[in-house]
Amino acid sequence: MAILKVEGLVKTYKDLKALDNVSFEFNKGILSLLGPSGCGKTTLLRCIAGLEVPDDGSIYIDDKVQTSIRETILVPPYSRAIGFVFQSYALWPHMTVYKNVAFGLKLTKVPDGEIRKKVIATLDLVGLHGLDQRYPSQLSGGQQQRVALARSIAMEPRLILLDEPLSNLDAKLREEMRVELKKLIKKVGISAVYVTHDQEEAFVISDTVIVMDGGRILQYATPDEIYNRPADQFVASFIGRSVLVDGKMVKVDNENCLVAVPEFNNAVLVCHRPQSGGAGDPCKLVIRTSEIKLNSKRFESQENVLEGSMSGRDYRGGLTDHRIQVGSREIVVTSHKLCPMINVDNDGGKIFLHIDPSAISVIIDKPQAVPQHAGG
Amino acid sequence: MKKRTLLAVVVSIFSVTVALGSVALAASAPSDPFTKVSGELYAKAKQEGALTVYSVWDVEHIVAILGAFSKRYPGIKTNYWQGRNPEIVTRVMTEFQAGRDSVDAILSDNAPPVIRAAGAIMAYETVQKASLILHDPTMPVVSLQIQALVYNTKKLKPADLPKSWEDVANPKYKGNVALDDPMRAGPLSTQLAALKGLWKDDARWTRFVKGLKALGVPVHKSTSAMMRLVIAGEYALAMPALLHDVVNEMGKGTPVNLVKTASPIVFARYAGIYAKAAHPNAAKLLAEWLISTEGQATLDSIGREASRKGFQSKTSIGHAYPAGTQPIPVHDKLFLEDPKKWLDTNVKPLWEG
Amino acid sequence: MLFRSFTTGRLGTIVAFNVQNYIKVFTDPEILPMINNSILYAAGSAALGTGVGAMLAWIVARTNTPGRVLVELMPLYPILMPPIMKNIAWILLLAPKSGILNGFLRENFGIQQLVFNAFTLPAMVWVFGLACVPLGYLFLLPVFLSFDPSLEESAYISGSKPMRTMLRITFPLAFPAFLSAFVLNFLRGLRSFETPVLQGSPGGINVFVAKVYDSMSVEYNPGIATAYSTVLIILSVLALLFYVRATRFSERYATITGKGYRVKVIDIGKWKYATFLAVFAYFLVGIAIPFVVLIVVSLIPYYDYETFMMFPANIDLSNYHRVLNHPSFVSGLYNSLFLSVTIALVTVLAGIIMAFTIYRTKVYGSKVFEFIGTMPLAFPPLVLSLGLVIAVIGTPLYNTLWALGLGLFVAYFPYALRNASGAIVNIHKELDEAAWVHGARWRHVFFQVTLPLLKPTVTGALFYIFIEAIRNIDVAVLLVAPGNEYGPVTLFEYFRVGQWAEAAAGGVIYLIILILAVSIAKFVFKIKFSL
Repeated sequence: MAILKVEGLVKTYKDLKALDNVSFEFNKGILSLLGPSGCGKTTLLRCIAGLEVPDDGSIYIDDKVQTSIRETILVPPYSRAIGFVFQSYALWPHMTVYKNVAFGLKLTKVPDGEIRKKVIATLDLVGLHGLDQRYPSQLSGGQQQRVALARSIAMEPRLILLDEPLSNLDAKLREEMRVELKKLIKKVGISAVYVTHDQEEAFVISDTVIVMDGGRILQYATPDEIYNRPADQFVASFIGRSVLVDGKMVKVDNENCLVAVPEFNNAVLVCHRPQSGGAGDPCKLVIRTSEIKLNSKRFESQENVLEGSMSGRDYRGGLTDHRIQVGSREIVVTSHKLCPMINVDNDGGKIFLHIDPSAISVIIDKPQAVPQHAGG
Repeated sequence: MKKRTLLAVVVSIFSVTVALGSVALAASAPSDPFTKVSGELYAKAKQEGALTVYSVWDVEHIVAILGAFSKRYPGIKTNYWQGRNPEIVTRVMTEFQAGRDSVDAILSDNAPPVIRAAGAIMAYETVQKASLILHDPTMPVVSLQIQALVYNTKKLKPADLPKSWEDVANPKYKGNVALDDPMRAGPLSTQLAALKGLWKDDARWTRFVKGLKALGVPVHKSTSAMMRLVIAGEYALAMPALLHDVVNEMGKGTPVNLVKTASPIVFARYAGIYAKAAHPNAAKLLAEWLISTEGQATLDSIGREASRKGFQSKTSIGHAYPAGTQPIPVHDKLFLEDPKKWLDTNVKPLWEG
Repeated sequence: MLFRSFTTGRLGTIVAFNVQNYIKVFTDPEILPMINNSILYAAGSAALGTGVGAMLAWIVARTNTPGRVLVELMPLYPILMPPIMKNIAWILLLAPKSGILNGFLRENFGIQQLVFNAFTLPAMVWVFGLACVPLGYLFLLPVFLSFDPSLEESAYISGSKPMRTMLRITFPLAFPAFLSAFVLNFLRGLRSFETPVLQGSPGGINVFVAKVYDSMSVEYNPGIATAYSTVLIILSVLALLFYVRATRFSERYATITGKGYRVKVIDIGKWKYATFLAVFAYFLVGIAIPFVVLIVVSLIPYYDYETFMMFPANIDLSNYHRVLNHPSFVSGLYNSLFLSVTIALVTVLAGIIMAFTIYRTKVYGSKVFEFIGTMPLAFPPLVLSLGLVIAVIGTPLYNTLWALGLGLFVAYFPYALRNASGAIVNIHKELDEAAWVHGARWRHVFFQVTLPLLKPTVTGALFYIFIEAIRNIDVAVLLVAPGNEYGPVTLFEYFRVGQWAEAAAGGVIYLIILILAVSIAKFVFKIKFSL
């Protein structure tokens, strides 16, 4: 049984295709919709909530049809029994925290005493004990965020939708909140669809991720799979600290392949073999910089070692960004104080980089078929 | 747009007589036509039981008039509505076209002729026509609009005063005349129509209109505003002012006075009876009563001009002007029927040409 | 909505197309200069009034100008003074030869030149512009009061100084409300009657409305009047189209968002003395000076410069006697108070519902009502009044208080609608949507979210419409049933019949009553006119 099923969703604004035949199914847990702004993720979320009407397609929540353009079914948002956390929180400034949270419950004609119990319990759950008589303007950004969450879970929906809920918080708070948010959602035991443009946030918070661009689903998989096996170059470049370079397959055997990279002075790298492609095919390499080893001395092995020069170092507290010129490319490798992979003691001198085959994904230039129903 | 129906009733020659030095009128004698007709009208009006009046006059005045009328003729419930002339015309015409009978009598100067021209006035000739300064066979003339030439006594010495209306066009008054817009249906256009008829000399009249235009002064659309500006000293002459306004202001000690050598222009203030009146007899009774000495005294008590010959009041020509002054009425048939058309034919070519 | 389209439909019957009338109107050689004058006058006044109103609203809402609390209500007092009172006061002040100001310059400084002239276009713009200030203030104040300070703070962080931020961030965000007020004031200017008649014609500046009046009074010709009105309607439609276009991306202007914040007062440094002076100067020219002139005029036997300067040696209370003894003083006042309060409530509520429907629902064609609802503004009062009479004359409503109420409703609905539209645009859509997804239906969204958030706007509009309705004659006049005394007639007939001294006395009495009412409302019943 799927908590959410979307079939053939299409939505066009004038010439812009916000949703281009989007279909997926989602069973339980936390699903992130990840993509750059304008990729259609918010439109998708609003269609699920019933705030937007798609041009075509259908949406099922808990196997019950909510939107079906062909059957002209459109359940209004107030009957979908979902929670929604808005980007701006959308707390009603004229109501106290208590009234904000109790709003939906009051409309369901639950007895007052029960509402009171539920609201207080929810506020305690999100860590806002004793703040129920405050107005939103008297709360900090993080507290407002919790109120918004409390409001959406107070009605105990099966599914809550969150539209970039953390984007208005500062960086530090954002990191704290995303973990807390995840714990909370798990604790309450509901499913969530979470919209974000921050891959790290998506990876931390969700069980499965949908990467979108141009109104299409590019990849639907677990964070691990997306990170290690990006479906295409867009996914690869979008999910972060990686270097994308053009290459040409030189040799292919059962397990591995050799790829020559012109930008790295035509160095040849050993990589895991992709599903298709043969010798002579052009390809792209996605190199995850976090898995690169650095050394100011030569490595013992010669395989997959590149030579470069240190063009600068940016100190970031516990972390340091090393900027290294390799051939015609600059690569940024971040190190931790205790990181055993990096052993650099001189500035401006020669630097050797070791890239393990597992840190490289090979993408054949012709676009692959997009998997529609990956695991999850 | 409504098709203009020409009034079938021929507006007869106005009988204008000036009754000066005539004996003060005693209370109506039994043989008086008013006494005779009012008895009959009252009996019928009482049956009708009500009377609604639309008027341009001040609410205070309407209330005073209807109060006195009700006291004299109990059993007739009176009602009024006050509006400006365009509003009265609009309301009556709209009600007429919708077949409403919400009004009985219309007390005003400029509105009733327009309404009559559209066929919404019930012709009624007063039985007291012999006593009137101005008579119209279809609408009783209950009061008069008397135009006076007025000057600011601080601004003009008696020696510099114009001798007549015609004199105002003298270039020496340039910049000192508060001039009414001759192209609106206001007092100045009435005056022009009156003088044209009086002089019967088109060259002279044309000279006069062109002379006024040559003064180069802006035109006003409100005689009362002109009057205030003359009092304030903005202008020296009001071309023209209304006599009751002048008398009222002079009573307050305002520095204005009449140019007594310029004969007053008179124009009727009617009690027109609405064509679809629900209470026509009550309306007629009101009109007759207003013309009677008692009604005229009521009008005088609120400072309104009397229309009855020889009636002495502070706003009467006899009181304000020297003996022998001849008031100038409007005879022009076209002007009375369709003032806009008259203005377009006669004044517009001179004024805008 | 049905009821509105009905009214408008009936109104439409008098706008019946008649080629002859239109030919007559559009071949009138005076038409171009008249359109030109009308636009200059209306746009000038609207720009002056709305601009000053916006500035005052910003000063009151957002700056640390000294005495802010005192001035909170100040910009509103001029509404209490009917436009024609201001015309009279300013004519007395600015008349070339007899005016107080020129007289003063002559007597004290020997300046013989006639510096001021009430009968010029700038003077018309000045007087009517001042009358436009309160509307601008009322429309803009709630916007500034509900402004998310982070919008401004982000500008400060980018290195923008407070005054610059005001110009670059604050005012642009208040743009829809500003434009709403501007368009309304512009339309008021196009159809205003008193200023053109009292100041324009004597200065040779002819505007459109005067023509409409002439065609109604000289020849009973509603066709021509309507044809003339068509020109006004075209201008109004253009103004509205401009408005709709300019505020197309309404979400951009949402200043009330779901993020809680406290409205912050900005320290504008030494500028605060300048803003204080601005408020004080406005108080002087907008209220104090004309009011004092009128009080003096109401107390002296007549106005000319010498008599005016003799005051108070020549006090005379006869004008007050006359007004207070007016036969319908008490009953009329009572009727109009009752009706104005009712109309203000009904109209404002309807305006909000309509604005809500237009901006927050997907009801088909609701945008059209934006135009239809604003249409009555384009008609000169007499033509509008006629349209209303035609609409109700065949119904049992005619000659009842209901018809009058309906007339006032139609006349003031545009204000309520524009006001509510400007305010609703300022409320972030997510606030509605949050209610919607959490189980609220439209009625819940409307009554529990939108309406409470609109409270500051609602109070402003209520106040404004109440004040306007209580002294309305022009629209009401044809709908007043005989014998049904409607208050304004009492005090304002003096203006209509042109008796300035009595008018001044009536105006002073009326102002005192209203100021008392406002003060009681504010201090006794704690009704706030702003946030």
